Parts: sequence; C-alpha cells; structure tokens
Amino acid sequence: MMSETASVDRPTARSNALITWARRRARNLAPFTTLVILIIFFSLTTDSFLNFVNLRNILAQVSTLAVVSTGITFVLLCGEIDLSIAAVATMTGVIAAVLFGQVGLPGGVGVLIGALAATGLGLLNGWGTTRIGLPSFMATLATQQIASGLGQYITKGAIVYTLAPVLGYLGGEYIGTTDPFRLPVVILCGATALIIGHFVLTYTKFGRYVYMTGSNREAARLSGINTKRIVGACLAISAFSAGIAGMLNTGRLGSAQGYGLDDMLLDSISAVVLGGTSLFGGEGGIQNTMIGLLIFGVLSNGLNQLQLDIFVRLWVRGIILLIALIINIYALKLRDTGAAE
Amino acid sequence: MSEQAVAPIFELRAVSKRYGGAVALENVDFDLRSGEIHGLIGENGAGKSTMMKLLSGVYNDYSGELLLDGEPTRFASPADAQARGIGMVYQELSTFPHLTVAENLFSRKPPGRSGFIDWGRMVREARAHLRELEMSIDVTRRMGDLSVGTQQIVEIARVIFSGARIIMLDEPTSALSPPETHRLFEFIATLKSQGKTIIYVSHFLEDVLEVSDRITVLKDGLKVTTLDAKGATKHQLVELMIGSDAKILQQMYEEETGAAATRKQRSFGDIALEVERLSKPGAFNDISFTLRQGEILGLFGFMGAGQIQLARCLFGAERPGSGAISLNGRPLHLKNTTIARSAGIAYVPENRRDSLMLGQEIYKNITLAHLGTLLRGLLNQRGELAVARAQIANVGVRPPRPELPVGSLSGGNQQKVVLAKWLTRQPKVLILNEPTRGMDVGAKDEVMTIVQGLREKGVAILLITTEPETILSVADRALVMSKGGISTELSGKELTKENLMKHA
Repeated sequence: MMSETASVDRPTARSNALITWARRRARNLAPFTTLVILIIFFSLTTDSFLNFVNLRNILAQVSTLAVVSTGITFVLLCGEIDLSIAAVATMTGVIAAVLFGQVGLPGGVGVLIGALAATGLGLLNGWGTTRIGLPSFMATLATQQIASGLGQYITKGAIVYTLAPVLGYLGGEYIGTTDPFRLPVVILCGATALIIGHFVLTYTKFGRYVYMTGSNREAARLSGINTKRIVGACLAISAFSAGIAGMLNTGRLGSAQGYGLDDMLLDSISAVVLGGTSLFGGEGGIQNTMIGLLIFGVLSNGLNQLQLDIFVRLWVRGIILLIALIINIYALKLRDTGAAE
Repeated sequence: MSEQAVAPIFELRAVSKRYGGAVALENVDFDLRSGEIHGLIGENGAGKSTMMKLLSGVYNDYSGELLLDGEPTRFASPADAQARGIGMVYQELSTFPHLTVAENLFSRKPPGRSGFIDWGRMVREARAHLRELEMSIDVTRRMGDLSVGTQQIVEIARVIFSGARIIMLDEPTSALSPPETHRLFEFIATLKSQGKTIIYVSHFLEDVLEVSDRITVLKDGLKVTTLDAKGATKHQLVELMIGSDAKILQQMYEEETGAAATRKQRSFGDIALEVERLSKPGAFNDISFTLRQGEILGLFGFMGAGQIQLARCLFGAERPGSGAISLNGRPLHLKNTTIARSAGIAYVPENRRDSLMLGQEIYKNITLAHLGTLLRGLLNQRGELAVARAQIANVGVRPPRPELPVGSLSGGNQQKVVLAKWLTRQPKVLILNEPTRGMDVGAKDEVMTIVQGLREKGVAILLITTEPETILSVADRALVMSKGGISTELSGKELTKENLMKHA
C-alpha cells in the first residue's frame, strides 16, 4: 500500500518541481521559447533562412543595435527611459565623419571626440533628470531635438562619405577571407558591448545599485545609495553606447547622414523588452537583451526571406511583436502567481 | 433642561468581530444620541478603528446588532452606509489636491445633465453650501494650495453635502496647529447647532474633553464605559484606557525584565549624536537632544507629531530648515543618505516597502547597505551568501534561505531582514522607526533582544514608536514629541505609560 502511493507521488512531485523551476525562470524561458518557435517557423516556411551565411547575416544585422541596446538596458533597469539615443547616434556618426573628412583630424581622434560629444549629451540628460527633476521622458525628448538638430546642422542635409578607416574596418570589414567562413568584425563589436554590459551589471557594485535603483528607488535611497548618481551614470552610458553604435553604423553603411536612424530607438527598446527586461526597472539584464536582439533579428530577416511585400512586412512585424510581448507578460503573471502559492 | 430624544439614532448591541483568531471587538454596546458629539478613545489596538469600520459599512461580517434610527440593519458596503447618512472623514484626507474646492465638494456627483457638468451651478451651489456652514472659503482655489486644516473642513463639508447626518472624524487634529484646531472646533459646534451628530475619535484627550458631550472608552476590544465629558479629567480617561491596575502592571513589567534596576545601573559612553535646535517648517520645531553610546533613547508620540520627519532628517533623507547635527563631536552636513550611511548612521524606516526590494533575493537585500565595504572588488555570490547567512542567523530570519525573494517572507521576517541589512556593519547610531510594527509577540521579543544586544556593544539607539510598551521594556529614557515639539523628557520612575500618553 505504502509503496503504491509513493510511486504515484514521485512523478507528480518531480513534475511539480519542474513547473516551479520553469515558473521562476519564466522571464528568461518565455522569450527563449519565442525565439526557438520563430526559428523553426522560418526554417520550415522558407528555403533561404536556415543556412550558415544567413544566420551570420542576422548577427551582423543586429550588431550595431546590440551596442545601443546594451546602453538602453542600463537605463531601463534603473527605471528610466532615454528617447534621445537614435538622434545621438546619428549626430555622433556625423561628427566623427566631418571631423575626419572636413576638419582633417586623425580618424581615431574624430571617433574619440564623437564619443565625448555623445557622453556629454548623456550627462545633460542626467543633469536634467536628477538635478532639475524632469522626468527622464521629458529631458531625453529635449536632448533628442538638440542632437537631431545638431546632426542636420552639421551636414546641412548632405551625405558625408569621408569615414575614419577604423570605423570602416569595425563596421564593414571581415575577418578571414573565404565565404562562408568570414566573420564580420561588427559582430565582434556587438558581442563585446554585450559582454562588457553583462559583466558590469552582474559582477560590479555599480551594476547591483542599478538594479536596486530600478527595483525600488526610495528603498535604495534609504539604504544609502546615491540614486541620483546611478541614474546619471546610466543615462551617460546609454548616450555613449548610442554614439558608438552611430559611428559603427556609418562604417557599415559607408556614409554618414544627418537623419535616418530614427528606427533605432524603438527597435532597441523592442529588442530589450522582447527579451524580458521589465520596462519599469529592476528586472532583466543583458542576457535578456541578447535573446531579444536575436528574436528581433530573426523576425526581420525571416519576414524578408518570406518575400512578402515590403509594406506588408512592416505591419506584420508589428503584430508579431505584439504577440511576443503578450506571451512574455502572461509568462510573468504565471510566475508571480506561482511565487505567491 | 430637556433631554434629547431618548431613542439613540445609531446603536451597536453586543457586537463582536474577529480577524481569524484575534478578537478585535468583544460584546460591545454603543449608542449615539441625535445631535451629540461623542468622543471615542482607546489605545492602539483597543478596537477604535474596527468599530469605525463597522459603523461606516466597511465590515459587515460581525455578530451582534447594528441599529440605525432604531431599526436593526446591516450595511452592505461603505456606499450603502453613505447613502443612508453616515459620513467618514479619515486621518489621511481623501481629497483631490489638483482640483478646486468646488470640484472636490462635488467630486462624487457633479451637478449637470446627461454627462455634461454645469460648472456655473457647481460654483454657485458650493458657495451657498459653505455659507450655510458659516465657512468662507474661496471655492475656486486649488485644494492643494489650502492649509491642511482648511482642506479638512472642505472634506467634512463634502461629506455633509452627500447627505451625511452622522459624521465620524478619525484623528482630525493630529496634523493641525492650535489655531486650526480651534477653527475646527468652532466648525463642529456649528454643525451640532444644525442638528448633525458627530463621532470624534482621537488620541488627544484634552481635545476630546473639550469638544465632546459624552465619551466612550475602549480597551482590548471591550467597552470600558461611556461617561459624560463634563466633569471628567484627563487623568481619569488615561486610567480608564490603560486600566486602573496600570501601576500594578507596570511593576510586574519591571520585575520581569529587571528594567527598572538595570536602568539605574547602566553607564553610557560618550555622546554619540547631538541634535541642536533642529527645525523643519511644517514638520517639527526646535528639537534638541543628546544620545550617548550604549543608550536606548525612546521617542514617543502619536502619528503626525513630526517624529518621522525628524528621523529622516537625521539620516539625510530630508533636509531640515535650520539647526545642527553632530556625530561624535563632529558636525554633520547630511546632504544625502550616502553621507549619513558612511558616517555610521543606520535607519530602519517604519514602512517595509521603503526599505526592501521585494522582488529581489534576501541576500541581495541584506548586503545592500554596505556592499561597498563588505566585499572588495567584484561581487561574488558566495561571499554575499556568507554575509547573508551570518545575518540571517543573527536576527533569526525564517525560513533561513538567502536565495528566496524577500517578498515571500512573512511581515515579521521581512522586518528582520531590514534590520539585518544595517547590522552587516555595526552602526554608530541606529535609528529605529516602529521596528516591531505588525509583528507577533515572539518576533517582537526577538527583535528587541537584538536591539538590547546592540546597546551592550555601545551602539547609540534612537527608538521611535507609538507603542508605549516597547519603550518601557527597553528604553533608558524617553522623549515625548507632540505636534512638532518635544513636550517632555522622562526617565527613571517617571517613565511610565501614563506619563508617556499624558504628554503626547
């Protein structure tokens, strides 16, 4: 009698443990599952999706997005938002190109000054948010106008083709010579950004403070954390990474222009949120951003491979984004009710 | 003099209410006469708020009878009670600070037809109503721009316009200055002359005596008595509230804990914290005291006396208007909490929500305050878990699993985690704000034992609480704060519950 009940209980106990394990990791599992589903879907519905070169292309396509998404992950984690990243990226690309081409500075110096200019705008965002008390939404909206205006002012609408060689290399070149085993350098750039971001967020005290500031701002403050400094630093980081991404992008495209990266803002936030990082702060991280970037990249690329009409692609992508987000939210609700039991 | 109508307009007969196993009210009889002002007093936990919730329709699961105008009835909901003439004005006003006075007065039912608001009528009627109540307030002003006292009067007026003839006021004067209190009393007298009936719940016994016709005293869920306010004294009320054998209980306390004896014998170290003439307009005024190493200084006061803002100023979470704070002789300029923490001040807020990241793991919450100095270099989980486990054992968190999210713990254990956070490095000054709120007796005991242990180690402790027993069981001396100022300092034989409550 005893052994009967024991053998009936054990499978249910094991499956219960599995459910609890899955529930706790819902924030990471749901996006990963979405990614797998999408990959399978596109592999089955097209011939051109599942091959090495295409997959490599996907990685290259999201690499500059990876850099800026790393920065925006910091900002979202601490509970704020940065609407200026696309404009800062554009402006920085233009500054670096003009400094090299028209002013005649060495390429590396142009890049450095560009990065400094971007970080400067990030500090301006930080000042407006923490010292003046503007909501980050407002402060970064204003900076976005400034950056966008500066970018267009510098180029006066023209397209600049003079790029620092280092950017051309990082953005456009390959390591290795023979297809398909050539590795676009830009993938390494994206990966580096993600790795550094993850390291800082997971292994440094600053990273811990970022999570805590986003999780409960007042409690962090009452624990002795200088939350103003943390928020300011995160906004500076996102502007800096936006600047780097902007410059990398010019290397990839071979030119710099004063507008045109506008998609980058929503694309990067989509990628981060698709990956499971909370828009309200305190939860998520670079590992989520990475999955989100892959989902985004697979989705865009897959829809291209399906050879849908270009305008159809855009709104279909929006719908699939919405579905993926809904799945994510449900997964989190399941996790929360599981924790409450 | 002719008496009022004999039948009470509002009555409770043999009412009892339990929460789970705990008794909130036991067999309480209560009657309210038409046109009277009836004071309701009792200690924390005596049952006042339960009774008010019952009378206002928040609870309808109780045993016994409730009678309105002589008819037995049971309110289905607060809305039902309101519709039948019961109005409730809470201590924290439920006003809309961004809207005007007129909009607030008509917030529940704006005048107008088919979804459109008749603004002209709203302003006119608001003005007329306030004039009837002999109050001249500009109805076009933003509610948030008015003083707390005026907002409160508007809130009471709103309740009356909604048809209330029985109005319950919960701690109406805790945030009012003396002139505002006076104005409120005049307003209450006007209401009484217009035939309204008022239940006045308050800790401030002089106010209750001044304004009430009769007073009901609750203690431990029981009704002690109802007496005429005329001829009653504050001393009499205190004795009724805490029991006529309070002195005996006091002696028992002291014998059990040996507090009285050790209180005399304990020696304290140097002055750790010195506060000189600290003021913050609107919160507290001219606060001065010293706190020595190895001393527990109790700070007693009712809610709204300014203790919380004072504590926050001592931790750099708020800035005082004027005055000086020094630590171990050196003046402190507490521009932010980081400076306070580095100086060795620790602060346990009264609200757990302000102190814990509920979604994060216990160990992350514990290491948070001193993360910079606890671990050198990079974070490593093993080091953090070791620190966390040591603290969990120190304060007795159950279950002792540092990887669990802190939100999964019970309230009492969460509070222990908050304390543990500050003990990862021994503080010089520990400010405790209601450290045992919401804890059962066993957990309270554990926490107070830890606090006493810290005293032995020379930590200077400021213990802020609204529970006199907590102060009596561990404090070496106590300050009583009332309406933003220190009303007295009590030590030795004078440190009694009666004296604490008398001066608050």
